[in-house]
Amino acid sequence: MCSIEEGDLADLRAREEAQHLKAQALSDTGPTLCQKCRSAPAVLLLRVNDIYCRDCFVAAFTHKFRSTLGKSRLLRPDEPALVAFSGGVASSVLARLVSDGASQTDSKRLRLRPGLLMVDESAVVPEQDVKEVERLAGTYRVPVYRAKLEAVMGDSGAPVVERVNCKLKEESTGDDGGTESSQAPPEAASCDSVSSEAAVLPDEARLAELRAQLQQLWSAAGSGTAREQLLERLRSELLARAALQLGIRLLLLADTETRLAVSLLSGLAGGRGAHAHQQTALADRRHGERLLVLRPLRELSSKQVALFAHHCRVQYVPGVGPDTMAPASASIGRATEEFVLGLQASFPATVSTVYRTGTKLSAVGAMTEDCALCRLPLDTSGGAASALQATRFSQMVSSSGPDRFQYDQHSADTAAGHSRATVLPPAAGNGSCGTDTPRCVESGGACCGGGGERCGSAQTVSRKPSREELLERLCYGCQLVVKDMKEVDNIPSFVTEEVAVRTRRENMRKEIQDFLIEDS
Amino acid sequence: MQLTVEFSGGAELLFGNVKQHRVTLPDRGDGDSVWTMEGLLPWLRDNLLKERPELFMQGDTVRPGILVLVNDADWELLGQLSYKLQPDDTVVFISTLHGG
Repeated sequence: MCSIEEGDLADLRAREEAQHLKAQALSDTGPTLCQKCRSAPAVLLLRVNDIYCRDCFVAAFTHKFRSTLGKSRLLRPDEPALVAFSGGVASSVLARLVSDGASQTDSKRLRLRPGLLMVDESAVVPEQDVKEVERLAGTYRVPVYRAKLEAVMGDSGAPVVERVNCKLKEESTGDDGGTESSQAPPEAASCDSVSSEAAVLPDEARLAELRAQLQQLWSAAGSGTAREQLLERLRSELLARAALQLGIRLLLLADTETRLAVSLLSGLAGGRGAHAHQQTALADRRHGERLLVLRPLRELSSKQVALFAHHCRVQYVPGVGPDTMAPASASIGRATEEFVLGLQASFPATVSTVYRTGTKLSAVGAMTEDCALCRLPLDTSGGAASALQATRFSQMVSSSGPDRFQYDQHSADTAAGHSRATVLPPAAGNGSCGTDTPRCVESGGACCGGGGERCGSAQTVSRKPSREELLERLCYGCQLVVKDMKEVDNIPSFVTEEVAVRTRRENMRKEIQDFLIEDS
Repeated sequence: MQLTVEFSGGAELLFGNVKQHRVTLPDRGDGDSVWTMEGLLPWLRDNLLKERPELFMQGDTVRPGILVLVNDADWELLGQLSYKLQPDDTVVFISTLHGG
């Protein structure tokens, strides 16, 4: 039914059949019939050979979504789940599928208790119509939560999300309490976790401060690509933190196949090859056991999603972002989208081929540390003879020019970096040349003496890591984002905290190095 | 000939942020009153589009990523550019591009 590998022969035959059907459709005077039920007139053409009527399409679409979720065998019965809701077409369709599925009464009921989580990005995307998104979220008769993007700049333990009271929600409890009462809101299940109502959001003044910090960070980002990437990472961190705060283990993202194919290719172009697998996988486990990020629309193309929204009258607001109405040259992401869709127009298998290839990729070698910004494995441990070192070397040569460049200097640096990497296993990711930056001697020494990584949080705040220290803890893709920044003073504190902790740990390990017994 | 033209998914941003337009296509001078999609697209671009024509059309067809439905049916089933428009047809343009 949903087999991935199909023989070339079958493909060829299907294509011939499709050509034939298409020809028939054009030559006949009457309407073409749906290929599936053969009774209703066909209204849409998906891929090469699927000609469907509206009802068969909606059924097939829903089935695909359910089977993607079901195949994963990752769901526990009646578990609460959060849908990341932007009000855009894909997340509106996902919200509709999940809420409709969960409110069915028969055996086909989707055994999830959904809630919607919307992110208020108005701090950096002033065009976003937050009120409208909120109104749309309210139409699904499930609990709605809202998180402001600027909250992600605050301390990592601080609450970021609040419940939104939607008018429609109240009306619905009055109208048909029957369907509503069978749906306990998600937080009722998470009795062992912190209740969302108990958590107090940062006050207005603090939020305004964070908002200003975010805006400064935003304007410091050097290019359209850097902004796009930064927004994606901050949003992903915020969604994760919100879900953790609410004690909900499942987070559903509405990434379509098309979107994933585009972000896979733009990710490769942006130096994130090592993460290609996590970025396209159904289940993203970067946050460990406490949070499972799922992409249940990943086998559906954006065309299917848009057609579903059209035929099922799903309301949505066009997802405005920093790249709205931007030309293809605005960012790598935009250019890649243009490229993929352009190819797709003449070769209808483009998107699925790219996407399926992405799912087969995986990173080689164990990566022990995670990137402080995107939380994906740190891919900067290539060793002395890696492509990364080659890039750095050529960067160093180009930036220093023929006169100032000294070969001995470079080889000494890499040798030092390399030997350090072999001596210190946890720091194995840092074979970078010239990272001999001053450590936090006084504060670092004092707090590392305390023995734990959380000992000196006050000192962490007091001292921001330098650009070099920061870059050392980031994966290559994130390094590119940060490198483009004019200044790094406004890097969110969850990143700087992480960097400080890692730096302290490394220093401590260095101090006690002689006493450690290592497996050889 | 009268038609209803709709834009959604962000395509409306190019058309003055109005989703639904009722348009009257003028008769072509040479007594040929048949309008095809091939003729409609440039007409929309020249008469209805408010900005950035390159985001709507590419060559003589729509930009990849914009879906076209005629009376709720995919225009790919109807012959795309060669489809002959009927009076009171509804033509829908849906942008599937990220960010509209």
